[in-house]
Amino acid sequence: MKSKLIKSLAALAAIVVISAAGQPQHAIAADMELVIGTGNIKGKLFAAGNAISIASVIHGKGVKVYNYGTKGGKDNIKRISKKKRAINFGFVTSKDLGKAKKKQIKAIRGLMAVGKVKGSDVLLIVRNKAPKKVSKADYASAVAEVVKMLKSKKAMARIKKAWGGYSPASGAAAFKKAGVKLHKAAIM
Amino acid sequence: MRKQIGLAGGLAAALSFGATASIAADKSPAEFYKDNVVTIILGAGPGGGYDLYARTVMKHLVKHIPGKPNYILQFMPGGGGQKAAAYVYNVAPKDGARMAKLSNMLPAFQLLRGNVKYDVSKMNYIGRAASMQYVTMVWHTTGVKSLADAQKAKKPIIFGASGVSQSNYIVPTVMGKLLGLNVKVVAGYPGTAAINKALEQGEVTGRAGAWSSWISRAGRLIDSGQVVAIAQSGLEKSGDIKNGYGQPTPLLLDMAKNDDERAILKLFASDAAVGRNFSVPPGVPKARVKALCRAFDATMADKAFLAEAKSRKLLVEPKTCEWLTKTAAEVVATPKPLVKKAKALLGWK
Repeated sequence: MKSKLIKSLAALAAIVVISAAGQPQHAIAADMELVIGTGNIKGKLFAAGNAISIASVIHGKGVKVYNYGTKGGKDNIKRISKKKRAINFGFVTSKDLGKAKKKQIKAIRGLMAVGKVKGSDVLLIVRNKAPKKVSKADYASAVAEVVKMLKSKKAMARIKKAWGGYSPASGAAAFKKAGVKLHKAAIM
Repeated sequence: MRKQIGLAGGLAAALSFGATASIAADKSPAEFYKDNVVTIILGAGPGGGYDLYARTVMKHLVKHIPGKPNYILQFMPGGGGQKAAAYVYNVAPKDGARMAKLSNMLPAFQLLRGNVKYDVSKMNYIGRAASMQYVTMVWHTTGVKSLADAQKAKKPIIFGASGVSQSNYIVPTVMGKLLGLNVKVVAGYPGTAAINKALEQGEVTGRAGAWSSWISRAGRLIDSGQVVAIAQSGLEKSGDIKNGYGQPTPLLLDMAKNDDERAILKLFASDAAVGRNFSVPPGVPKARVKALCRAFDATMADKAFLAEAKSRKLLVEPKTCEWLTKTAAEVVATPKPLVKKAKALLGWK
């Protein structure tokens, strides 16, 4: 009787161990809400931001990206590097990065190039620091999920419909030139 | 020939667009929302009260909308919320998939500023989650513990304000100019935190602010008795707000000496009454507006929503879409001579 109980307990423990091992290392807490600073509400990048936002809900997993109509690249850098009420992602040009302060450059990470507007490369940057009450690992997983979503065919088609110039690429050279470190999830 | 093809193409496109629009309009609320993502447009940036209310309400509201759609937020700050209002009213698709949480100041702006690109009386309101009751507080060293004390005060109460179009300027100015209180208003502070700091440093001796803001940002000043509530502005009295003698604080509206003063005070109190409101633009199919209204009412009674609002320290004082529509229409109907008088009180042209 005793041996039967021990056997069943051991089997139960094995099931627990196996199912725990099967889980992803850093599962994102239910629907992490992140904000992307895009640009003027009449511009192409704002429209692209809306498409990204909808794509995050339809094609993303465990992460929602909300669009914020800002004053453009400089404003996005300022808002990403703010201490309070900061945003998480932002569209910038290499010119905007070139004018950023050292402190601001430290606070951001490069993710990818998303296309061209008026002849300038548009880059996607991300805030390095995790939001309040969110662990570093969860934040990194959420950022990686957003990058994965932005590269997916379905999301790309949706974003291209709003902004024909959308073409995700590395952008590593532009980030390196501006002294911006790359995020772990950045497109290489 | 090319022109003919162009015309024919344009006509075909117009017909096909019309057909698509009509098919979309024919869909029942459940059919429509099942395939759609609802976008809620906010007239402010992320991280503030607008954001917090929108996230909390939307999370539960979508469970009650037929078809249970998903949702996203869109931040569109600028012009004290007027940029978002103009966009929602004129540009946003009128299908019911675009909702808005617009500024509570819009009715007052429409009448007092004029030249706005929206009409609040034509918006389709969904409901109000909470009022934005403004409470006038004075520093304890003034010796003023009630509105009656303030009316007798020989030394002026100095109110800190951020800008002349903000309620923290409008409320004390009206108290002084219309109700005859001995007050002085100093505008130019960057925000609530700066005015609270000025209060503690003795630079100013009063501030008018949203009750929710007093609770969340300066609760310790209230608990320690360093600030005393003397009046509240809004259309309905909140019984929880007590003055320095432990009595309920009066509504500024009740201090009106005649119908004209009452109408002017009602206009100034409209922002508090409209409060944390949700709406869709005019032109949205009626069945969808109705479905959203009833979903909002159900959300306000939803235990999970109320528990979350409590944990986030959010006030919940719901009103139906019908009440909001009636209130907005009444405010907009304020007679022009009284609007002119109200403008003159504030020194606006």
